Amino acid sequence: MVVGAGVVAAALLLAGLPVAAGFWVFGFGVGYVVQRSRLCFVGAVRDLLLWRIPSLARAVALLLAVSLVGVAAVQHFTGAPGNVFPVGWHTVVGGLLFGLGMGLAGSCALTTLVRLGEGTAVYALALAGLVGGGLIGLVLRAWWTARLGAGTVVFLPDVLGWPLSLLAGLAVLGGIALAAGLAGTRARGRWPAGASASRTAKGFRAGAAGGAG
Amino acid sequence: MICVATHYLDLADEVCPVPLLRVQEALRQAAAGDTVVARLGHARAVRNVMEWAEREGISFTVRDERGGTWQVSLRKNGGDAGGVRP
Repeated sequence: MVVGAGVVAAALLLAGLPVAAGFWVFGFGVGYVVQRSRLCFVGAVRDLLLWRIPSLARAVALLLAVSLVGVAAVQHFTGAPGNVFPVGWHTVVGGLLFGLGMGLAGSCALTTLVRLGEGTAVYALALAGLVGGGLIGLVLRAWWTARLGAGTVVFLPDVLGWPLSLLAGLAVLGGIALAAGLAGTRARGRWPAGASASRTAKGFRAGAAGGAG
Repeated sequence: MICVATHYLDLADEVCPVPLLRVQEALRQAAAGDTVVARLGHARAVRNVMEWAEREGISFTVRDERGGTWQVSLRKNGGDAGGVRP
């Protein structure tokens, strides 16, 4: 597969498309890392809430911390304008809708691509939904923008200054990672837990759960 | 008389969080000493089962079937601890 990817990259280079070749190699590398790392943004939240398994939540917090520093450095030192969108009630509604979709599909955009690539056919549906929803959003974007107005644009470094906003971001992410780890430690030995489990928990503890299904 | 059973689950095409939930359900319904064997098709699902079983003190083995699937065998511990390490 690596050889095949190299052949395509070489072909793109020979065809006089160095930028496309660069994108191809970068995309291939990102795809490899994403699949191997088993990263999952839905899993980060779900594993923590459902089972108090903290590893993904901590991984995502670390990922965001690294990107936060990197993006802040690029923006601060190069003066590159950030793509900052207005914040408001629609941010919350959109987030909930997106989260509902992710929860139903059992995957974010990332895991949808990974699992489809791994050969789980049902994810073709999730990808179709992702692309379809994105297209609808694109078509309706002007309509929404006209109705919701410009809204309030909040860029934290403008409000708090660069050092403080960076520190605040890292503190929040560190707090999330710590809380997740703590929740995982405290959950040890509590299984079976939860309402659905209590029905069979008694039989389970007695070691005679065969009849308690 | 001791009767030990093995329960097989094919969860290779299941969407998370179904795999671990099904494994937990099967272990709950199994008798002490029984083994639950789950076939999983996603590395993260395997990780979930491993991390959870490790935390709860449930002994397990993982076999890589090479073709992108894994077989996880979990043994329901006997005794009053009920699969939970004291």
